[in-house]
Amino acid sequence: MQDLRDEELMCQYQKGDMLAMGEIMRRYKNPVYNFIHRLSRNSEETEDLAQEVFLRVHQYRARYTPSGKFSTWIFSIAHNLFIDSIRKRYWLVLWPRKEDNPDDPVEFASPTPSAAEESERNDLAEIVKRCIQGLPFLQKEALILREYERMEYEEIAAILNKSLGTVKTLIHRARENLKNKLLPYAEEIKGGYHG
Amino acid sequence: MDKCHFVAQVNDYLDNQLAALAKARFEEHLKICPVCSGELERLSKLREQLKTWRIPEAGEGFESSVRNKIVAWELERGDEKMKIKPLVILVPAGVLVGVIIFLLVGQMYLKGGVLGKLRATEPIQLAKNVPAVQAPVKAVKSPLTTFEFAERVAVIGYSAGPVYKGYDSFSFAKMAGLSLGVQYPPQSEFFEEEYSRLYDNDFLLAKDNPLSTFSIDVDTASYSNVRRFLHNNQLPPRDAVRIEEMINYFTYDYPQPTGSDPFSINTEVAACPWNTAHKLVLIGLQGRKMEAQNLPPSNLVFLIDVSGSMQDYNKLPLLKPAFRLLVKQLRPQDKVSIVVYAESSGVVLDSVSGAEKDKIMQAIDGLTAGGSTAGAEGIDRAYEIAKKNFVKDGNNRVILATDGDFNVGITSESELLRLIEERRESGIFLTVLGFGMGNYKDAKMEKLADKGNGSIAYLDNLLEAKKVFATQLTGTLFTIAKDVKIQVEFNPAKVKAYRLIGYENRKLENKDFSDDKKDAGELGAGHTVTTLYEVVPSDSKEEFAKTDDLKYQQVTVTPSDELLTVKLRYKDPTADASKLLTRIINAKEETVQPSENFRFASGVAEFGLLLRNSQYKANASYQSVLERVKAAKGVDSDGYRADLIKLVEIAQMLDAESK
Repeated sequence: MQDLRDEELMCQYQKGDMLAMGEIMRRYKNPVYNFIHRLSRNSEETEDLAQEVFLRVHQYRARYTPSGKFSTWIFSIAHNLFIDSIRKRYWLVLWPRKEDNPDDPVEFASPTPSAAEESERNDLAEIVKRCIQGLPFLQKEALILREYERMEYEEIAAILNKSLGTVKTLIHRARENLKNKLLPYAEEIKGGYHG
Repeated sequence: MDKCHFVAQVNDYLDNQLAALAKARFEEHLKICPVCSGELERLSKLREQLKTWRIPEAGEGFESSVRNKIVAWELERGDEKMKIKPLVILVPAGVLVGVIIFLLVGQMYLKGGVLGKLRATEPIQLAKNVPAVQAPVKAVKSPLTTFEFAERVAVIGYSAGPVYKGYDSFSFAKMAGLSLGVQYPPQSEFFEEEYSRLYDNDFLLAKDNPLSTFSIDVDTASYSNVRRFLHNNQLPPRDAVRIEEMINYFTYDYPQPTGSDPFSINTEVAACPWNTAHKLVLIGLQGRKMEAQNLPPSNLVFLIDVSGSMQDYNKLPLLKPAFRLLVKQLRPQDKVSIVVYAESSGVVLDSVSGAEKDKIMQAIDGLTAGGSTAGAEGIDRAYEIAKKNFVKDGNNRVILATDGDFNVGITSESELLRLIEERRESGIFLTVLGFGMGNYKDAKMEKLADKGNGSIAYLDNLLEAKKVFATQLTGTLFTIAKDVKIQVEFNPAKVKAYRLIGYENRKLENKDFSDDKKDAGELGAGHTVTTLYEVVPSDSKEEFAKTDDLKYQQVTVTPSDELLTVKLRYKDPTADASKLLTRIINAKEETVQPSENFRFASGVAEFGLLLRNSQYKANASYQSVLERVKAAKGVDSDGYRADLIKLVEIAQMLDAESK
């Protein structure tokens, strides 16, 4: 079972082999959980949503075709589920925010921590987290898939259902935003924050 | 800061997006361009910073929660399927009626609308219409298997209310629709199921070991458990397969006792289907049936495990409708108490009359699960209550419902068993109901039931609950004979060797047979118990392990046509002394046309041998099992035998796949 590729496991699962399901869950529970945890601001719903992803894998298992990468498929499910959960909560905000369009000028969407606040916290991980969470949604998602899930641009494009060029721009923009916010902080740690 | 045209490529370079040639060129460029190399340094630094945000791993209960969600979804889906059924049937039916009306009206219109003419042509037109009007029905049927379709058709008129309502009038097909839709989560290494190692009984030489003694077993838990595995597309572990429990899961059609004894003894001899050189001997007991209204008053104590592990969908949520089935049948003279236990135990109801059904139902509905399990304290408390409300000459019984996961308090098995054994002396019987799957402590629960003068049933769906609490309620609740032991003496003149099929953990010492202090199995009202011996005729050339001849004693074999003698001891439920019954089977009784009972029981036994991959399976095959049980299915009004056929088919497929 451990020797099988994800795609082969999924075929076994489709045939009703519940042990294959167990193995898939062992391989993907942490990546999926991590992904949703990073996207979500509410850590309580993370576990529930991540579990829901595997329920959907079960529900839609017949629709999976082995020609596609399994990781792409399961992360697409996670992506859609997360979008759904946001829509449920803010049902009026059904469309992506303006700044999510990579061709538009980018503004920082949410208030980011001021340097004074941060020097009090003095916790780089916390600042990284808050800066990433302050990114426009699609930039944030593309960056998380690239930096934390180590995915190639093609796979990210398939998960987000965007073109390769869009994904590239999203990631560049995300880095640009973060660089401006985080690098001064890194220099401050070294002892010289001016600003 | 200076600008560079190529700075946008730094990201591509970092993410390995450049083709080999472009990459090499860019690396050259990096060496001479401070803008780009500076950007690369900043982005690399950023990447390092990002790494500091770490996420804890998913919680420990993650996988089991997912499994629960899947089971819940499957259950819900089963319910939804049931709900849409009237629609599935009504729409084609409406179309059908419409087509008939359209054709008839068209007919009338074309032929001038004379009713007399219509009557004359009606049967012919209807016959002609048949293919047309059946079409929509076929269209519905196509995505379903025949079995599913039969189930769906059977459910016309089923209300969408909770499944337990109106239960009594349900047919098997409806219940199967509920239960078969459920996919159980898989068994994997982290599910700690416990089974005692079970070794097949060996062939014994009749000359060396003329006596075979065992206690009857009316438990059926093993069959339900085997079914659970097979429904999950897995062959069961061999130690989970107890053949006698599989055979005795089914009711056989033996005659009712005629004399004063509480049961009839029935015997049959025929060729052994999986090894035709051998004979198969069937010994069947039929307990006297009792009408529910004639039962003595009951003093029932429900002892319900409400620890956290019971909150799964197939535990407490299944227990509630199961107990409602039982409560429905209680009479005013019956008394019910409810004791619950988790971290500590508590009395929810103390001796409430069976007439107060609402009160009992409410108490059952109000149960919720949480906390850990201190089984022993609960058992103690339940027996106390049972003793306090003891009904003389009545049916005093503790009904323990648990997944057996006693993980707090006196959890050592021997201590628990000692506790139960002590309580048995007070005349209180114990019924153990096993719920759930993950931590189903089969071995422990069976021992509890054995020591408590009681029986065990494993409930995995409402169909099973119906069997235990409705169809066979009197048998579940009322014992007509206790300490029932069977001793068979084989005649070496006719029998070379024999093997008891199953009952591996029910064997007794020969001397225990007449020892009234030795505990044995109980027989419930209307229960049947079936035992099979595989017998090797005396003229066989087969060799078996034998003891050396004795020096000082000589065994002489008396010529006789008798094959064997069945001796049976039992006690009346309140008596301390046993009664003896005997029955002789003559070699000439062998039949070439065995009864339905014989063929079906031997089919189940053969199925068990295959599942256990027994060394004695000889020529056993799933095909021959199927042929025999299908032919011997009989009336099967409740559909239990049809269910077995499906299981054999699943096992056959799984077995073929595994080879």
